[in-house]
Amino acid sequence: MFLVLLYAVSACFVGCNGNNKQDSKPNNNKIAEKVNVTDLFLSYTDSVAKLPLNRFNEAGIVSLNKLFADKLPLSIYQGKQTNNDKNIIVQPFQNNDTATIIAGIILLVPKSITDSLHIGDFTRHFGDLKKEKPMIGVTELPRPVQIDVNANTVIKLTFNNNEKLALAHVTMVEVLKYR
Amino acid sequence: MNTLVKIKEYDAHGGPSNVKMGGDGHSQTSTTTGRFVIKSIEKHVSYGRYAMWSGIPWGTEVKISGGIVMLKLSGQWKKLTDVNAQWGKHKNDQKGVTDAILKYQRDLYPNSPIPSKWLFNDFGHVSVKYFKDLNNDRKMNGKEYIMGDFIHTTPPDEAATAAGRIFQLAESHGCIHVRPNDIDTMIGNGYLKKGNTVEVHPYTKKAIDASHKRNAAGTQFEVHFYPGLYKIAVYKTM
Repeated sequence: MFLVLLYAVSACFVGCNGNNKQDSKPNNNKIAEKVNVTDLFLSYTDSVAKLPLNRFNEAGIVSLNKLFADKLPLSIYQGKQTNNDKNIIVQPFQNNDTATIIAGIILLVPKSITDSLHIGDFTRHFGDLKKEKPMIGVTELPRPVQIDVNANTVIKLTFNNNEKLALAHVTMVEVLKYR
Repeated sequence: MNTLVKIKEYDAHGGPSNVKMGGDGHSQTSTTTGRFVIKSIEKHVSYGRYAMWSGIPWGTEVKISGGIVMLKLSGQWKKLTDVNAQWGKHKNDQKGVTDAILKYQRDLYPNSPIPSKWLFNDFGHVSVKYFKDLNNDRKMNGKEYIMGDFIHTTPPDEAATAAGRIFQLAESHGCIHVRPNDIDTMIGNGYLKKGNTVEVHPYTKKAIDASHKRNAAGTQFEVHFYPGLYKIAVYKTM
């Protein structure tokens, strides 16, 4: 009787432990993967934001991308855009003298990364969203939100609509340099 | 039955695969599947929940005179706040209205901060509207009605296209978002034309068919949307 009970109890522990091991391994991997790609993207965005104005252009991006080449799937826009499902497409641009934004760098987020990139990830890394007066009326698409990185640099985030803003998936990041 | 062969593909983005609530309190629905007939191709004017920004046709002339936003409608300049009841609610706050217009213009077109045309209509410069042809006569009659899911562009995508900037097609409330240049090509080439068929495939479809057997009803082209693949495919009747 005692032996049967001992076997049953030990079988239960073995079973529970076995299940835990099986469950936790992929979950941990998933979390590690998510943390990885999200953190890497935030780190890359941070580096873009820190580019000085004289390197806030294609040459600056090319050399920055070399540092992240083995970490993120980066590609510079080459004039033809298709629905990107693999690469982060990067496009630097300059504005004319009438604009308050001197220059910007657009990061188009592929769907695979969008799925694990939330507004909340950016606010945790870069600080609170800029508080703006609510817009008159309703637009079909949510208006982008902004984070002031410093006096001249703003991160603008475009995202898919979501009931909770912090959980909204980010589809496009623009790093903008103001006058 | 006719054989339809795929000749082109374009990017497109529909609603979410499952209903979800947006941050604006309006639910986003999936794009309705099925076969539909195109009823019209026109600039959309909204009278519902989007009647403010979309209550004015795309491209309407705009000027700011004495700090008041004016629109040219039917050859006459009118205050924006006199155009419809929704804008009319703000008639005692002309400065607030002007500030809102200038901010939206600046956000979309930083290189042209003063608006000269209304480029804020949520449905872009042209919308393709279609209906479910219940009695198969290719005409909208009886209890048939235009679906709420249009094929259209969006103001941010129009602005990005005008500036030569990259952009991502956004998830819709059920409509089919396409690129501004692509909708013009599809209309210009006669793929999207009054009387042509639009077919929306299930979200579960994971490959674009090279061909179909369908009753083409005498039309030369059909446009098929694959929401799970974010693509529109154009088929030619053989």
